[in-house]
Parts: sequence; C-alpha cells; structure tokens
Amino acid sequence: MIKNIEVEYPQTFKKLKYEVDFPIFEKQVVLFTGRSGIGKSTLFLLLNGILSKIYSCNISGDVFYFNGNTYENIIENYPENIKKRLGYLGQNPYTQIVNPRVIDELVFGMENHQFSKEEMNRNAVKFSNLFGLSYKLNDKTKTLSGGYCQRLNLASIVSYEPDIILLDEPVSFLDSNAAKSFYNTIKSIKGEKTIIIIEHLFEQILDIVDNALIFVNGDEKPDEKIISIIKGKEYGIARVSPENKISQIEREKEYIQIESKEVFEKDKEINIKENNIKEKLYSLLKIEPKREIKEEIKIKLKAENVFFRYNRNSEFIFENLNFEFESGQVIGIIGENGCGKSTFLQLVSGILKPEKGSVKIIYPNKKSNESNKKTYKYVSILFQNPESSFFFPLVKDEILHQIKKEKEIDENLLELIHPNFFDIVQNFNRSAFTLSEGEKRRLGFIIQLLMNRPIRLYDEPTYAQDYNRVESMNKIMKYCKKQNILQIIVSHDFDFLKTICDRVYLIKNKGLEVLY
Amino acid sequence: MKKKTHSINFLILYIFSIIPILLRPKIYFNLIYSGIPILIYLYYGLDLKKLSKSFLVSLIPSLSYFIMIFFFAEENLKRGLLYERSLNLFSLKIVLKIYETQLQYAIAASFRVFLLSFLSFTTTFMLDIWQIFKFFMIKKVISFSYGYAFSIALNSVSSIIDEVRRVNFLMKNRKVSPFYKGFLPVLVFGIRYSELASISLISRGFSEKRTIFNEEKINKNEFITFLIISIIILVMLLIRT
Repeated sequence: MIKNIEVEYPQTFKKLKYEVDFPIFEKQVVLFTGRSGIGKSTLFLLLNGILSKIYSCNISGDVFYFNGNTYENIIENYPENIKKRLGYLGQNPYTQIVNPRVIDELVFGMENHQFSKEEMNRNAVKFSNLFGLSYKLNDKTKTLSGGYCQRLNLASIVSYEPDIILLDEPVSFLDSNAAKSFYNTIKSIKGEKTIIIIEHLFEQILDIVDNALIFVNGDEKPDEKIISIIKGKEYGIARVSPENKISQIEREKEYIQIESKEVFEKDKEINIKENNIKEKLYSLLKIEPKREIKEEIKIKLKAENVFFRYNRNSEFIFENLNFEFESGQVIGIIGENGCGKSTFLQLVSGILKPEKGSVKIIYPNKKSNESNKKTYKYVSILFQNPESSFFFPLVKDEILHQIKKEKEIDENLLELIHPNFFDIVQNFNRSAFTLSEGEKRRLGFIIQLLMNRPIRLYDEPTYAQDYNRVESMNKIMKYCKKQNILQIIVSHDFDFLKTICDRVYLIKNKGLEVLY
Repeated sequence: MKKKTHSINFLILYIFSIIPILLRPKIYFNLIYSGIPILIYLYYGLDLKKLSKSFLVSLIPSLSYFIMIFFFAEENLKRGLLYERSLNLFSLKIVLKIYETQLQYAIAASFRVFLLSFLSFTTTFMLDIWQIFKFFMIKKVISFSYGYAFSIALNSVSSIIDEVRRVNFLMKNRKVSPFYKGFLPVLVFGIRYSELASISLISRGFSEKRTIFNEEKINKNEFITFLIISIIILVMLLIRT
C-alpha cells in the first residue's frame, strides 16, 4: 500500500510530494504511467530501498509492505529481508550488466542471496530455458544484443525468486520483436509474482496488466487519452507535486536579473510580460527572429556500395549499402536490436567511416569532396544518449550557446517549441544532466533544431516521451519537412514513423529494404 | 578442439619466465627462457596471427629503446671504435662513431626489451582477466567489491570509447571550444554508467557474503605441470649463474 510520500533533496532545495492511496495486491501486474519526468522512476528506487542510499535525500511518508503477517512501513526502516523479495530492472540493458560472462550474470543475484549450488544450478537451467538463453550461457555479455541483455537482466532477477518485480520501461531500448518477446516472457510469469511496470506506450501490454496507477502533476486531471486506452481496467491516481524552496517565480526573476546584468548589459530595459513566456524567452535570449529561411538549399545524401564493420575480425554490419535521399524527405529506419540502426546514423553523419564505398553529401554549388570532410557542418544528430551533446553547466547556457553560434533562428519554429511545453523556462537554471530522460531528449531535440542544419538525424526521438510530446515532435518534424530539411529517424516506434515518414526502411540482410 | 587451462597457470608461467629475462642479459639464454612459454601457448591454441601481431607490436618499444641507448650512450660504453665517418650537411659537420661496446650493449638491452614485450603481449592473448580476478576474489586476495568494480570498468571500456567519438563530433557540430569542455559529457557518462551499474549491483542484493556458482577451480595436475615447468626455468637460470 503506497500512501503519501515526500522526497526532499536538501542540496537542490527540491521536494517531491506524492499523494497516492492505492493498494497493490499480491501477484498482480500493475502499470505505472503518466507524463515523463514526473517521478515514477524515483518512486521505484524508493520502493527498492535504493533512493536514500545513492542520492542524498530525506524521505517521509508511508509505504506499507505486507510480509504475510503484518504490515511493515518500509519508509521508516527499510528491512533487509524485503530486499530479497524485490527485483528491479532498469531501462538501459547494457549498464545493468556487471559480469563479462552470461552464466556469471545469470547467477549473480542468486550468489548474492546465498543460494546453494544445487539451487543455483536448478534455477539457471530453468530460467535460461524459459528466457531463451540456454545456448548463450558461455558467451561474453558484450556480444549480446540489447534484447538479449534485457532478457538476461530479467532472468538474473527472476532466478533469485523475488515476490515483487519492478520494471522501469524495460523495453524502451528494444525493437518491437524483442519487446514482444520480452513481454511474452513476463506473461509466462504472470500470476506467480507481483509485477509493477513503468511504461509510456503501454497499449502492447494491456492484456498483461491488471490495473494501473496514473501519475499526474498536482491537481491536473489525468490525460483522457490514457484513460481511454486503459478503459475497463481499475486505476488509481498518483498526484505528484514538485516543490522548490525558492519559488519558481523568484527563480525566474533572479535569473532575469542575472541575465540582464551579465549577458546583455547594454539592454537594461527588458520589458517582460510575466504571463507571456514566449516573449520572455525572446527578451532573455535577445533573439531577432527571422520570418522565413531566405535561401532554399537542395541537397542530396548518397551512399554508394558501402561496406562497414567495426573491426576486421567482426562480421560486416552493412554490405553493399546504397541509398539516395534528398532535401524535404523524412526517412524512417527500423530494424531488430543490434542490426545497425545507430551505426547507420553514425555512418551518415561521418562519425564512422565505411571500409569500402562512400557516403556523400552532395551540394549543388559545392564540390562533393568538400562537404564529405566536414559533415558536422551540414548534419546534426540527436543521439540515443542526449547527454553527449551537453557541454555547459546549465540548460540556459546550452540554449544560449547555440543561439549565439547560429544567429539564424526561425520564429515559426520557436513558436512550435513552446517553452512551457518543452519545460525550457522551468528548467533554465538546472543542469541539463539532472533532467529526466525525457526532458534531456527534448532539450537535445531543441538544440538540434536551433542548429538549423539541412540534414537532421534522430536516434529514438520518442523514447521516454508521453503521447502529447510525441504529437508535438511530430508537428515540429512536419514543419521542418516543409522547410526542406532532410530528416532521418531511427525508431522502434513504427506507428510514429508511419505518421511522419515519406519512406520507411527496414535494416535487413546488411542492407536497406523499403517497407513502404 | 582448443585445449583449455586456467589463466592462473599462464600467469605463473609468465612471471617465472620474465624473471630470468629481467636478471640475465645474455641473448641466447633469454631466447630459451622466452621460447618455452611461447611453445606452451602454441600448444594451448595460440594462433600464429596473434603471435605475429605481438611480434610486430613488440618491435616498436625495442627499436625505440635501441635508438635511445645507441645514440645517447654513456661515455664508459664508448670503447673499441668500429666505424667512423664525418658528414657535411650545409655548414654543419656531423661525426658518426660506432663503438663495439656501445653496439653490443644496445643490441642486448633492446633485445631484452623486445623479449619482455613480446612475452607480455602474447600472454595477454592467453589470459582471461575476469577468470584471474574471480580466482583472486574467491581466494579473498581482493574483495568482491573491488573485483566487481573492476569488472564494471572492464565492461564499460568500449562504451566510453564510443562516447568519446560521439562527443568529439558533437563539439565540432555545436561549435563548442575549447577542447576541455568535452571532458564534461564524457565524465558524466562515466559517472552515469557507474551509477546505473551500482544500482544494478545493489538492487540484486550485492554483498561480500555470497555463495559461488562457478568456482573457477584449477585442475591440480595442470597446475603442478605448469609449476614444474616454471621452476625448471628458474633452476636453469640458477645453474647458469
């Protein structure tokens, strides 16, 4: 039973208040859903007893755990015996692996909980068969694809027989087939364990889920779309209110003062209307927005007989790859885990060089050789890990830097990147590295838009985004298409790709196959 | 079928083989001491490609050492003049003198460096580092916390290399300078990786008190054989001295 909880971070003056009154019954499968960055993963870490150990925070409130006889409040004192009964699976399959060999990873949890050799042997055989890992037991973990890594992580948890399994967006790094197969595995243990799953795009697991807990911000009403999807299931509401000791308005004012003094000293009279966030943003950033892009540039992206592999001992990822894309197109790329989707983007962007063949950006007015050497001038890329693109202490610095460097900002685009919607203003004075996964991706997305390159590459842009944000991204991408920008999107989300792409390709047999 | 043995055996053999090379400068003996472990590695499935790779790689440190010693030889090594020639380069007069002692010393010393690096590189092909660490953890030479921290670090190497590549590109892409600003995302990546890995460790109940599934036991007979070979190498050295 989760009741009201408060998590306070004294160093950042941040407080998260959860108002929940929702019982989770034994052997049920419960869905946790809601806006990204709201605090679902934080609650998971709290339930697992990890939150206070890793982050310096104070926790108060009530989470009662029924241990068979009595209710124990795990917030007051986290009992060691509960640890054995909980299993936690995170989002990223690769960072959770701690052993270099599959078999060692599989038995790792059991070794920690001091299972006997016979028990370990029995469970290793049982769960490696159940999760399709039996023929990979002697492999090295670094050779596994994301899908297999996540299965291995789950097998490692399930093998020490916890009663409750917490799954934090377990398929977000997996392709649709691997995700389906992962949830089929979950189905096979449904009814034996209590399973709590955090998932944004949860239509695929509705048949597994018994009931749901929808997370909303403060007094907001739950998203109608979510309610319409989970129709027929029992659901509860978790109200999460973030509080700052320094109020938001004070922080805004403080920021405006600093900016006006330090950055734009000449312009001392910044006329800011408190309620007009857009105008405030323009004033703060001192942008002279351009109404339209004057020069329309047509470019082509062409690959000829590309062969690529990571090293000479490994297999080719691409063999004889050929394609030709041009300005204004939106291209979708899908494929199974480990087939080379991210590698494809890195080849296009020039980060990786093909062993044979070439990837060329062809400008009508320039020699093709010129552009190939400096692809970073023409291509912008949103990586799966958006943190790679953050170089400054605060969110505002990230944005200001790009605006200062680029100078040309499209007003219509800024209109679409509504600051409130993308949490820019709210998070201006925070470090980009402390944002939630979804927020980071959105910030990376905005930086990429500000860079205004004629070729834009996105690696899983919809990851950790709720329905509204996905829709918003869709709008922006459609606008960029009108602006004659070539966009290539790698995603597992085929439904999203269908709504926006001119063509969708499947990476198969070391090449591209047109899907539609 | 590739023959297998515990990596500890190779480690013992390696340590016993480099002791004589470190102690004795005579070329012929050094060749014997390093030849024995190489033959054993070949018996245990070392392929010739890897052997030639480590041969070529070892040439680099030994040649640099040769150049260093030969051209910057100490005065007391300049005995027995073998060759002398003076060259006039523009207005610069260069005198090239090769002394017998200087040449002998440089060859012997760089050959030792070559053998040391050749043996070391070749041994790394034979070692399963994780097996060695696990062995030391089980034997309580190192704690499980250190061992698993090392294992996480080992797993993260390729991810960090990829991240550096991405950050390099993005710095140019976003016109970020100076170069040291690129340390921030790489550092955060490293911290994030360790944070997630430690969550994974803790959430699965990691502790020093644990049972072991695969004890990585060493086959007694093999261990004794390796030990005897290693001791023979040492005894050979002692007899010669």
